[in-house]
Amino acid sequence: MTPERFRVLIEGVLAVWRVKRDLSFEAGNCRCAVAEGDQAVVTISFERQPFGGVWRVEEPGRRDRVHPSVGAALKSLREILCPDRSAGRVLFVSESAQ
Amino acid sequence: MNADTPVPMTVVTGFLGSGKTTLIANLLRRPEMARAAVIINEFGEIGLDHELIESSEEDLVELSTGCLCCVMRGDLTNAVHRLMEKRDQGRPIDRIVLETTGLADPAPIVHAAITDPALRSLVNLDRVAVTVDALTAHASLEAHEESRSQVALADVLLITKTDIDDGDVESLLGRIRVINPDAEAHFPVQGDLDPKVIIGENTNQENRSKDRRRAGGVVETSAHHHAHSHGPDEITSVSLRLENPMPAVALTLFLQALAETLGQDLLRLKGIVEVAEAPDSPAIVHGVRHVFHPMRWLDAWPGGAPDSRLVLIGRGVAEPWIRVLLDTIIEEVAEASGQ
Repeated sequence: MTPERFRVLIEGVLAVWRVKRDLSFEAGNCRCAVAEGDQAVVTISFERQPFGGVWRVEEPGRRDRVHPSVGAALKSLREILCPDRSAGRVLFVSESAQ
Repeated sequence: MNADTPVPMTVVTGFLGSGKTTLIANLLRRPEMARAAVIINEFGEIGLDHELIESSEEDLVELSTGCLCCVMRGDLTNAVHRLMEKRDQGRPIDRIVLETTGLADPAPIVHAAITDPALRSLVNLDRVAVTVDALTAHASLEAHEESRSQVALADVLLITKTDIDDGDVESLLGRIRVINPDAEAHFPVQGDLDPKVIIGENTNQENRSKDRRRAGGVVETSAHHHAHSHGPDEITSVSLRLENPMPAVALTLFLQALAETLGQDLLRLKGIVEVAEAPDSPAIVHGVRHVFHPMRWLDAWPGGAPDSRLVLIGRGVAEPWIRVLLDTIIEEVAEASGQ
Protein backbone atom coordinates (compact mmCIF):
# COMPACT_ATOMS: atom_id res chain seq x y z
CA MET A 1 0.00 0.00 0.00
CA THR A 2 1.30 3.41 -0.93
CA PRO A 3 -0.06 6.79 0.20
CA GLU A 4 -1.31 7.39 -3.34
CA ARG A 5 -3.26 4.13 -3.51
CA PHE A 6 -4.52 4.65 0.02
CA ARG A 7 -5.95 8.01 -0.98
CA VAL A 8 -7.63 6.60 -4.11
CA LEU A 9 -9.24 3.86 -2.04
CA ILE A 10 -10.53 6.06 0.76
CA GLU A 11 -11.79 8.82 -1.51
CA GLY A 12 -13.50 6.29 -3.79
CA VAL A 13 -15.22 4.43 -1.00
CA LEU A 14 -16.43 7.58 0.73
CA ALA A 15 -17.82 8.85 -2.57
CA VAL A 16 -19.78 5.62 -3.02
CA TRP A 17 -21.12 6.02 0.50
CA ARG A 18 -22.13 9.62 -0.26
CA VAL A 19 -20.09 10.76 2.75
CA LYS A 20 -19.46 14.47 2.45
CA ARG A 21 -16.95 15.28 5.16
CA ASP A 22 -13.58 16.96 5.24
CA LEU A 23 -10.72 14.59 4.45
CA SER A 24 -7.12 15.28 5.50
CA PHE A 25 -4.48 12.94 4.15
CA GLU A 26 -1.13 12.92 5.94
CA ALA A 27 1.66 13.55 3.46
CA GLY A 28 3.87 10.54 2.84
CA ASN A 29 1.76 8.25 5.02
CA CYS A 30 -1.31 6.09 4.66
CA ARG A 31 -3.40 8.05 7.11
CA CYS A 32 -6.62 10.01 6.65
CA ALA A 33 -8.61 12.04 9.14
CA VAL A 34 -12.30 12.49 8.48
CA ALA A 35 -13.79 15.58 10.10
CA GLU A 36 -17.03 17.51 10.27
CA GLY A 37 -15.88 21.11 10.41
CA ASP A 38 -13.27 21.17 13.16
CA GLN A 39 -14.72 18.09 14.83
CA ALA A 40 -12.75 14.87 14.18
CA VAL A 41 -15.06 12.00 13.29
CA VAL A 42 -12.70 9.15 12.55
CA THR A 43 -9.17 8.46 11.40
CA ILE A 44 -8.18 5.50 9.27
CA SER A 45 -4.62 4.44 8.65
CA PHE A 46 -2.53 1.63 7.28
CA GLU A 47 0.93 0.81 8.57
CA ARG A 48 3.33 -1.99 8.02
CA GLN A 49 4.40 -3.96 11.07
CA PRO A 50 6.96 -6.80 11.28
CA PHE A 51 4.12 -9.31 11.23
CA GLY A 52 2.26 -7.72 8.32
CA GLY A 53 -0.01 -4.86 7.38
CA VAL A 54 -2.27 -3.31 9.99
CA TRP A 55 -5.35 -1.18 9.39
CA ARG A 56 -6.37 1.04 12.27
CA VAL A 57 -9.69 2.86 12.65
CA GLU A 58 -9.67 5.47 15.41
CA GLU A 59 -12.85 7.05 16.68
CA PRO A 60 -12.62 9.76 19.35
CA GLY A 61 -13.61 8.40 22.74
CA ARG A 62 -13.58 4.80 21.57
CA ARG A 63 -11.00 2.06 21.62
CA ASP A 64 -9.11 1.78 18.34
CA ARG A 65 -10.24 -0.92 15.98
CA VAL A 66 -7.30 -2.81 14.49
CA HIS A 67 -7.76 -5.02 11.44
CA PRO A 68 -5.48 -7.26 9.40
CA SER A 69 -7.45 -6.78 6.18
CA VAL A 70 -8.76 -3.93 4.07
CA GLY A 71 -12.22 -5.51 3.95
CA ALA A 72 -12.60 -5.48 7.73
CA ALA A 73 -11.23 -1.94 7.96
CA LEU A 74 -13.73 -0.61 5.44
CA LYS A 75 -16.53 -2.35 7.33
CA SER A 76 -15.49 -0.55 10.52
CA LEU A 77 -15.30 2.73 8.67
CA ARG A 78 -18.77 2.28 7.19
CA GLU A 79 -20.25 1.44 10.58
CA ILE A 80 -18.93 4.75 11.93
CA LEU A 81 -19.57 7.03 8.97
CA CYS A 82 -22.84 5.66 7.64
CA PRO A 83 -24.29 3.13 10.07
CA ASP A 84 -27.68 3.19 8.37
CA ARG A 85 -26.31 2.20 5.00
CA SER A 86 -27.17 -1.41 4.29
CA ALA A 87 -24.22 -3.64 3.54
CA GLY A 88 -24.42 -6.56 1.19
CA ARG A 89 -23.32 -10.03 2.10
CA VAL A 90 -22.26 -12.44 -0.59
CA LEU A 91 -24.63 -15.32 -0.85
CA PHE A 92 -23.68 -18.26 -3.02
CA VAL A 93 -26.71 -20.02 -4.43
CA SER A 94 -26.18 -23.55 -5.63
CA GLU A 95 -27.43 -24.27 -9.10
CA SER A 96 -27.74 -27.92 -8.15
CA ALA A 97 -30.51 -26.91 -5.77
CA GLN A 98 -32.62 -25.78 -8.68
CA MET B 1 -38.44 -32.13 -21.01
CA ASN B 2 -38.96 -33.94 -17.73
CA ALA B 3 -41.95 -32.65 -15.77
CA ASP B 4 -39.69 -31.96 -12.78
CA THR B 5 -37.10 -30.07 -14.80
CA PRO B 6 -37.18 -26.29 -14.29
CA VAL B 7 -38.33 -24.55 -17.43
CA PRO B 8 -35.99 -21.96 -18.96
CA MET B 9 -37.37 -18.47 -18.48
CA THR B 10 -36.38 -15.49 -20.58
CA VAL B 11 -37.10 -12.08 -19.11
CA VAL B 12 -38.03 -9.42 -21.66
CA THR B 13 -37.95 -5.96 -20.24
CA GLY B 14 -37.47 -2.46 -21.57
CA PHE B 15 -38.83 1.00 -21.00
CA LEU B 16 -42.38 2.02 -21.85
CA GLY B 17 -43.07 1.81 -25.56
CA SER B 18 -39.75 0.33 -26.49
CA GLY B 19 -41.21 -2.62 -28.38
CA LYS B 20 -41.40 -5.52 -25.92
CA THR B 21 -44.83 -6.66 -26.99
CA THR B 22 -44.07 -6.32 -30.69
CA LEU B 23 -40.96 -8.39 -30.16
CA ILE B 24 -42.74 -11.15 -28.27
CA ALA B 25 -45.63 -11.21 -30.71
CA ASN B 26 -43.17 -11.80 -33.53
CA LEU B 27 -41.15 -14.36 -31.63
CA LEU B 28 -44.22 -16.42 -30.90
CA ARG B 29 -44.85 -16.83 -34.61
CA ARG B 30 -41.54 -18.62 -35.00
CA PRO B 31 -41.62 -22.42 -34.98
CA GLU B 32 -38.79 -22.52 -32.42
CA MET B 33 -41.12 -20.78 -29.98
CA ALA B 34 -44.13 -23.00 -30.60
CA ARG B 35 -43.91 -24.41 -27.11
CA ALA B 36 -43.24 -21.14 -25.33
CA ALA B 37 -45.65 -19.79 -22.76
CA VAL B 38 -45.87 -16.11 -21.94
CA ILE B 39 -46.39 -14.26 -18.70
CA ILE B 40 -47.31 -10.65 -19.18
CA ASN B 41 -47.14 -8.20 -16.35
CA GLU B 42 -49.59 -5.42 -17.08
CA PHE B 43 -49.37 -2.28 -15.01
CA GLY B 44 -52.77 -1.03 -13.98
CA GLU B 45 -56.15 -2.62 -13.77
CA ILE B 46 -56.81 -2.74 -17.48
CA GLY B 47 -54.24 -4.65 -19.40
CA LEU B 48 -53.76 -4.25 -23.11
CA ASP B 49 -50.50 -5.91 -23.96
CA HIS B 50 -51.91 -9.41 -23.84
CA GLU B 51 -54.48 -8.40 -26.46
CA LEU B 52 -51.65 -7.65 -28.84
CA ILE B 53 -50.08 -11.06 -28.59
CA GLU B 54 -51.64 -13.82 -30.56
CA SER B 55 -51.43 -16.74 -28.26
CA SER B 56 -53.80 -19.40 -27.11
CA GLU B 57 -55.30 -18.85 -23.71
CA GLU B 58 -53.47 -21.88 -22.41
CA ASP B 59 -50.10 -20.37 -23.18
CA LEU B 60 -50.56 -16.95 -21.71
CA VAL B 61 -50.92 -15.71 -18.18
CA GLU B 62 -51.61 -12.10 -17.44
CA LEU B 63 -50.63 -10.45 -14.19
CA SER B 64 -52.50 -7.24 -13.56
CA THR B 65 -51.90 -6.78 -9.89
CA GLY B 66 -49.25 -4.14 -10.22
CA CYS B 67 -45.68 -3.84 -11.22
CA LEU B 68 -44.04 -7.22 -11.03
CA CYS B 69 -40.91 -5.93 -9.42
CA CYS B 70 -42.93 -4.51 -6.53
CA VAL B 71 -45.40 -7.24 -5.68
CA MET B 72 -43.90 -10.05 -7.54
CA ARG B 73 -42.68 -13.18 -5.93
CA GLY B 74 -45.99 -14.70 -4.97
CA ASP B 75 -47.78 -13.61 -8.10
CA LEU B 76 -45.02 -14.75 -10.39
CA THR B 77 -44.71 -18.08 -8.63
CA ASN B 78 -48.47 -18.56 -8.90
CA ALA B 79 -48.42 -17.67 -12.58
CA VAL B 80 -45.65 -20.15 -13.27
CA HIS B 81 -47.52 -22.76 -11.24
CA ARG B 82 -50.59 -22.26 -13.41
CA LEU B 83 -48.51 -22.80 -16.52
CA MET B 84 -46.90 -25.89 -15.05
CA GLU B 85 -50.31 -27.32 -14.23
CA LYS B 86 -51.21 -26.89 -17.87
CA ARG B 87 -47.99 -28.62 -18.82
CA ASP B 88 -48.82 -31.48 -16.51
CA GLN B 89 -52.19 -31.74 -18.22
CA GLY B 90 -50.46 -32.30 -21.51
CA ARG B 91 -49.84 -28.82 -22.84
CA PRO B 92 -46.26 -28.82 -24.19
CA ILE B 93 -44.34 -25.95 -22.62
CA ASP B 94 -40.57 -25.85 -22.98
CA ARG B 95 -39.94 -22.16 -22.27
CA ILE B 96 -41.46 -19.22 -20.47
CA VAL B 97 -41.13 -15.67 -21.70
CA LEU B 98 -41.80 -13.12 -18.99
CA GLU B 99 -42.64 -9.63 -20.18
CA THR B 100 -42.33 -7.03 -17.44
CA THR B 101 -43.96 -3.65 -17.35
CA GLY B 102 -41.95 -0.83 -18.82
CA LEU B 103 -41.54 0.63 -15.37
CA ALA B 104 -40.09 -2.48 -13.79
CA ASP B 105 -36.65 -2.62 -12.32
CA PRO B 106 -35.70 -6.15 -13.38
CA ALA B 107 -33.23 -6.64 -10.53
CA PRO B 108 -35.79 -7.94 -8.00
CA ILE B 109 -37.21 -10.26 -10.64
CA VAL B 110 -33.80 -11.65 -11.53
CA HIS B 111 -32.94 -11.85 -7.86
CA ALA B 112 -36.09 -13.81 -7.08
CA ALA B 113 -35.59 -16.16 -10.01
CA ILE B 114 -32.18 -17.05 -8.63
CA THR B 115 -32.91 -17.14 -4.91
CA ASP B 116 -36.58 -17.89 -4.30
CA PRO B 117 -36.78 -21.64 -3.62
CA ALA B 118 -40.34 -21.99 -4.92
CA LEU B 119 -39.56 -20.13 -8.10
CA ARG B 120 -36.22 -21.84 -8.65
CA SER B 121 -37.84 -25.23 -8.50
CA LEU B 122 -40.03 -24.20 -11.41
CA VAL B 123 -37.91 -22.00 -13.65
CA ASN B 124 -34.31 -21.66 -14.64
CA LEU B 125 -33.46 -18.07 -15.45
CA ASP B 126 -32.12 -17.80 -18.97
CA ARG B 127 -31.40 -14.49 -20.63
CA VAL B 128 -32.51 -11.01 -19.71
CA ALA B 129 -33.38 -9.28 -22.98
CA VAL B 130 -33.91 -5.54 -22.88
CA THR B 131 -35.54 -3.50 -25.61
CA VAL B 132 -34.13 0.00 -26.04
CA ASP B 133 -36.04 2.53 -28.12
CA ALA B 134 -33.50 4.23 -30.37
CA LEU B 135 -35.73 7.27 -30.63
CA THR B 136 -36.38 7.93 -26.97
CA ALA B 137 -33.78 6.03 -24.98
CA HIS B 138 -31.53 9.01 -24.38
CA ALA B 139 -34.35 10.78 -22.55
CA SER B 140 -35.45 7.64 -20.71
CA LEU B 141 -31.93 6.90 -19.54
CA GLU B 142 -31.56 10.46 -18.41
CA ALA B 143 -34.78 10.65 -16.47
CA HIS B 144 -35.61 7.19 -15.23
CA GLU B 145 -33.64 5.00 -12.89
CA GLU B 146 -35.69 2.00 -14.04
CA SER B 147 -34.47 2.48 -17.58
CA ARG B 148 -30.85 2.54 -16.46
CA SER B 149 -31.38 -0.51 -14.30
CA GLN B 150 -32.93 -2.39 -17.21
CA VAL B 151 -29.93 -1.66 -19.41
CA ALA B 152 -27.54 -2.52 -16.61
CA LEU B 153 -28.99 -5.99 -16.14
CA ALA B 154 -29.29 -6.93 -19.81
CA ASP B 155 -27.64 -9.97 -21.28
CA VAL B 156 -29.01 -8.94 -24.65
CA LEU B 157 -29.80 -5.41 -25.75
CA LEU B 158 -32.35 -5.07 -28.52
CA ILE B 159 -32.14 -1.62 -30.06
CA THR B 160 -35.52 -1.02 -31.66
CA LYS B 161 -36.90 1.48 -34.16
CA THR B 162 -33.59 1.98 -35.94
CA ASP B 163 -35.61 1.55 -39.13
CA ILE B 164 -37.35 4.85 -38.30
CA ASP B 165 -34.22 6.81 -37.51
CA ASP B 166 -30.81 5.39 -36.70
CA GLY B 167 -29.04 8.74 -36.83
CA ASP B 168 -28.13 8.73 -33.17
CA VAL B 169 -27.62 5.02 -32.59
CA GLU B 170 -23.88 5.23 -32.23
CA SER B 171 -24.07 7.83 -29.52
CA LEU B 172 -26.83 5.81 -27.85
CA LEU B 173 -24.66 2.71 -27.93
CA GLY B 174 -21.79 4.66 -26.47
CA ARG B 175 -23.98 5.78 -23.63
CA ILE B 176 -25.37 2.29 -23.08
CA ARG B 177 -21.89 0.84 -23.04
CA VAL B 178 -20.97 3.06 -20.12
CA ILE B 179 -23.72 1.29 -18.17
CA ASN B 180 -23.31 -2.19 -19.60
CA PRO B 181 -20.23 -2.86 -21.70
CA ASP B 182 -20.74 -6.56 -22.03
CA ALA B 183 -24.24 -7.26 -23.30
CA GLU B 184 -24.80 -8.32 -26.87
CA ALA B 185 -26.52 -5.72 -29.01
CA HIS B 186 -28.96 -6.52 -31.80
CA PHE B 187 -31.11 -4.31 -33.97
CA PRO B 188 -34.43 -6.02 -34.66
CA VAL B 189 -36.75 -4.26 -37.05
CA GLN B 190 -40.46 -4.51 -36.29
CA GLY B 191 -39.73 -7.21 -33.73
CA ASP B 192 -38.05 -9.48 -36.23
CA LEU B 193 -35.44 -11.41 -34.25
CA ASP B 194 -33.88 -14.86 -34.36
CA PRO B 195 -35.23 -16.60 -31.21
CA LYS B 196 -31.75 -17.99 -30.54
CA VAL B 197 -30.73 -14.51 -29.47
CA ILE B 198 -32.96 -14.64 -26.42
CA ILE B 199 -32.72 -18.31 -25.60
CA GLY B 200 -29.05 -18.47 -24.84
CA GLU B 201 -27.93 -20.65 -27.71
CA ASN B 202 -26.02 -18.01 -29.57
CA THR B 203 -22.48 -17.03 -28.69
CA ASN B 204 -22.78 -13.98 -30.89
CA GLN B 205 -19.14 -13.11 -31.08
CA GLU B 206 -19.83 -11.86 -34.55
CA ASN B 207 -22.62 -9.63 -33.33
CA ARG B 208 -20.49 -8.26 -30.54
CA SER B 209 -17.81 -7.36 -33.00
CA LYS B 210 -20.36 -5.72 -35.26
CA ASP B 211 -21.78 -3.86 -32.32
CA ARG B 212 -18.38 -2.57 -31.33
CA ARG B 213 -17.78 -1.39 -34.83
CA ARG B 214 -21.10 0.43 -34.86
CA ALA B 215 -20.22 2.18 -31.66
CA GLY B 216 -17.17 3.59 -33.32
CA GLY B 217 -14.76 2.35 -30.70
CA VAL B 218 -16.49 4.20 -27.92
CA VAL B 219 -17.58 1.02 -26.23
CA GLU B 220 -16.28 -0.89 -23.28
CA THR B 221 -12.83 0.51 -22.83
CA SER B 222 -11.97 1.28 -19.27
CA ALA B 223 -10.29 4.46 -20.41
CA HIS B 224 -13.69 5.72 -21.47
CA HIS B 225 -14.91 5.47 -17.91
CA HIS B 226 -11.89 7.30 -16.62
CA ALA B 227 -12.62 10.21 -18.86
CA HIS B 228 -15.93 11.00 -17.22
CA SER B 229 -16.84 12.16 -13.80
CA HIS B 230 -19.77 10.06 -12.68
CA GLY B 231 -21.82 10.90 -9.65
CA PRO B 232 -22.43 8.27 -7.01
CA ASP B 233 -26.03 7.77 -8.18
CA GLU B 234 -25.15 7.08 -11.77
CA ILE B 235 -25.09 3.48 -12.98
CA THR B 236 -21.74 2.80 -14.54
CA SER B 237 -19.56 -0.18 -15.24
CA VAL B 238 -15.98 -1.10 -14.66
CA SER B 239 -14.01 -3.67 -16.60
CA LEU B 240 -11.01 -5.11 -14.80
CA ARG B 241 -8.39 -7.20 -16.54
CA LEU B 242 -6.35 -9.46 -14.29
CA GLU B 243 -2.80 -10.02 -15.36
CA ASN B 244 -2.02 -12.93 -13.05
CA PRO B 245 -3.86 -15.99 -11.76
CA MET B 246 -5.91 -15.12 -8.71
CA PRO B 247 -6.04 -17.26 -5.57
CA ALA B 248 -9.58 -18.51 -4.96
CA VAL B 249 -9.63 -17.04 -1.48
CA ALA B 250 -8.67 -13.61 -2.83
CA LEU B 251 -11.50 -13.77 -5.33
CA THR B 252 -13.97 -14.66 -2.58
CA LEU B 253 -12.68 -11.89 -0.31
CA PHE B 254 -12.93 -9.41 -3.17
CA LEU B 255 -16.55 -10.33 -3.82
CA GLN B 256 -17.31 -10.00 -0.12
CA ALA B 257 -15.59 -6.63 0.08
CA LEU B 258 -17.54 -5.37 -2.93
CA ALA B 259 -20.83 -6.53 -1.46
CA GLU B 260 -19.95 -4.99 1.89
CA THR B 261 -18.83 -1.70 0.40
CA LEU B 262 -21.33 -1.26 -2.40
CA GLY B 263 -24.37 -2.90 -0.82
CA GLN B 264 -27.45 -2.27 -2.94
CA ASP B 265 -25.34 -0.20 -5.33
CA LEU B 266 -23.77 -3.35 -6.75
CA LEU B 267 -26.14 -4.44 -9.51
CA ARG B 268 -24.22 -7.07 -11.34
CA LEU B 269 -20.83 -8.73 -11.53
CA LYS B 270 -19.72 -11.19 -14.14
CA GLY B 271 -16.41 -12.42 -15.32
CA ILE B 272 -14.06 -15.15 -16.35
CA VAL B 273 -11.10 -15.66 -14.04
CA GLU B 274 -7.92 -17.68 -14.02
CA VAL B 275 -7.93 -19.11 -10.52
CA ALA B 276 -4.44 -19.96 -9.29
CA GLU B 277 -5.47 -23.33 -7.93
CA ALA B 278 -6.95 -24.42 -11.28
CA PRO B 279 -5.05 -22.58 -14.01
CA ASP B 280 -6.29 -24.75 -16.83
CA SER B 281 -9.95 -24.35 -16.01
CA PRO B 282 -11.23 -20.80 -16.27
CA ALA B 283 -13.88 -19.96 -13.71
CA ILE B 284 -17.08 -18.19 -14.65
CA VAL B 285 -18.25 -15.75 -11.99
CA HIS B 286 -21.81 -14.51 -12.15
CA GLY B 287 -23.74 -12.51 -9.61
CA VAL B 288 -26.77 -10.29 -9.40
CA ARG B 289 -26.48 -7.86 -6.55
CA HIS B 290 -25.06 -9.85 -3.65
CA VAL B 291 -26.23 -13.23 -4.89
CA PHE B 292 -23.69 -15.33 -6.74
CA HIS B 293 -23.80 -18.72 -8.34
CA PRO B 294 -20.94 -20.97 -7.37
CA MET B 295 -18.19 -20.64 -9.90
CA ARG B 296 -18.67 -22.67 -13.04
CA TRP B 297 -15.52 -24.15 -14.56
CA LEU B 298 -14.79 -24.32 -18.25
CA ASP B 299 -12.61 -26.99 -19.80
CA ALA B 300 -10.47 -24.46 -21.61
CA TRP B 301 -10.08 -20.76 -22.28
CA PRO B 302 -12.26 -19.38 -25.05
CA GLY B 303 -9.71 -18.18 -27.56
CA GLY B 304 -6.98 -20.41 -26.21
CA ALA B 305 -5.00 -18.10 -23.94
CA PRO B 306 -5.94 -17.00 -20.42
CA ASP B 307 -7.69 -13.65 -20.41
CA SER B 308 -9.11 -12.97 -16.95
CA ARG B 309 -11.56 -10.14 -16.64
CA LEU B 310 -14.33 -8.97 -14.37
CA VAL B 311 -17.13 -6.59 -15.23
CA LEU B 312 -18.95 -4.76 -12.46
CA ILE B 313 -22.11 -2.76 -12.96
CA GLY B 314 -23.50 -0.54 -10.28
CA ARG B 315 -24.00 2.90 -8.87
CA GLY B 316 -20.83 4.78 -8.13
CA VAL B 317 -18.47 2.08 -9.29
CA ALA B 318 -15.23 3.51 -10.61
CA GLU B 319 -12.14 1.66 -11.63
CA PRO B 320 -9.44 3.39 -9.56
CA TRP B 321 -10.64 2.52 -6.09
CA ILE B 322 -11.98 -0.88 -7.08
CA ARG B 323 -8.65 -1.74 -8.67
CA VAL B 324 -6.84 -0.66 -5.49
CA LEU B 325 -9.24 -2.74 -3.40
CA LEU B 326 -8.59 -5.79 -5.58
CA ASP B 327 -4.82 -5.36 -5.59
CA THR B 328 -4.73 -4.82 -1.84
CA ILE B 329 -6.71 -8.00 -1.19
CA ILE B 330 -4.44 -9.98 -3.50
CA GLU B 331 -1.41 -8.61 -1.66
CA GLU B 332 -2.91 -9.44 1.73
CA VAL B 333 -3.65 -13.00 0.67
CA ALA B 334 -0.16 -13.43 -0.75
CA GLU B 335 1.35 -12.08 2.46
CA ALA B 336 -0.81 -14.31 4.65
CA SER B 337 0.21 -17.35 2.64
CA GLY B 338 3.89 -16.45 2.91
CA GLN B 339 4.42 -15.64 -0.75
